[in-house]
Amino acid sequence: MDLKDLWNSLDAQDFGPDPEKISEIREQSQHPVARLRLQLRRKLTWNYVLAAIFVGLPLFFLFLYPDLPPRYVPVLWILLGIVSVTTFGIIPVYRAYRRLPELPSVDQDTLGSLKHHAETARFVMRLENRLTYVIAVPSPAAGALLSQVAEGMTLAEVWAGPAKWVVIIAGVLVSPLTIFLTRWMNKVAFGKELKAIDSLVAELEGLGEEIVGEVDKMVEEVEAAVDELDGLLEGEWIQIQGKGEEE
Amino acid sequence: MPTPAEQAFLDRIRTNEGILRKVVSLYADQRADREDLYQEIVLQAWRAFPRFKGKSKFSTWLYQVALNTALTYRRQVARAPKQREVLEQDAVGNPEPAREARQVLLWAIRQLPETDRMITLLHLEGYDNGEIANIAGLKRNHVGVKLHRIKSRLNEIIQREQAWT
Repeated sequence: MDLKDLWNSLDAQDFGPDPEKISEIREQSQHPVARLRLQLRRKLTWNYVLAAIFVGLPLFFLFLYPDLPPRYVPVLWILLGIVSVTTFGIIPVYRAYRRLPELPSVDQDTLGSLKHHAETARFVMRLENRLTYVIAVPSPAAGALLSQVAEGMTLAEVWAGPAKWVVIIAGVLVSPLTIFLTRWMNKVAFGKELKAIDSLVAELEGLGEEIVGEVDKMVEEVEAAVDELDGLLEGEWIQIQGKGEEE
Repeated sequence: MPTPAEQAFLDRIRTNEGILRKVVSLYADQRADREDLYQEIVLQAWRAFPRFKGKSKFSTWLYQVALNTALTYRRQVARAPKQREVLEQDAVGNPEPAREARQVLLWAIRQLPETDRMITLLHLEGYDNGEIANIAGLKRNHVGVKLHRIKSRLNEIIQREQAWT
């Protein structure tokens, strides 16, 4: 039986049980890109909440808390500076997030849609990494600095003594570790997804190479056939010539 | 409660439900996954609908959206079952010979790579090579060669399956 005939004989039951009738359109997409975008939005929101806390607290202690020991004052100003810089650093990430399409377009051709999907996912992951650079580099150093001051040292003492190495090492060791962990988590969460999309793109685009091989084979076959025909014609021509000469 | 626009769209989807059922059945194994994929396709189609200008038939546009969503949505759903039993567990009806043959065809299509499944479905649904090429983003000749190979592969899978049973 022809495949098309067999296909046309399929009835609704062959495609499995009836899907549940949809009375409402789902509000939240479960699509991987939608999940990536949501994850980024949550991170940005948390960053702004934390920034508000870390700006609010130093301001409160600096201006509304008269019993603040003087050694805390420069540290709180440093903390304020770090938080302000990181907050400004997040703004471009936020802008890029706003420009992101909610979902990769599904109403274009498949190859285009797959490529768009992969590009969007990669872009979101790059934004996540940028966010990590902004947050991960200054925060361990600031944390270490604050802890030293809380132990009773002044900022000048921290910087003059061996404690400054604690601050530097905290920044140097913890930052790459955080960046590495973020990248690793992104890879675990979305690496397989991207790999699968890439392989689908390769599967579709790979057709071109297949075609080239196919066409090459056809050309070889045609050339062989032409050679054979040439040989036959030549043979026939010699025969005709031979007959002509006999006559 | 859906808005009048949503309701009109859902009515339109219901008249083309067969398209979604076919796509979902080729790309999702378990019932829960099918429901999930079905819902996602409807959502994606709803979001993309304002861009539908009627240049192609609604059914063609819906195939495009449904197939693109199925290919990119939750990769674990889209893998073909290793054994035919997985599909049969969900199938409804008696295992009469005609149904058996149809189930073998469906199972064989699900053994194909995912992009081949898409081309096969469109071909079996009566789209010509040019239309399939437009939907897939390929050249017409590519589709022709691909289809030729897919048919051989499908026949091979079906014959092997029939020889075993």
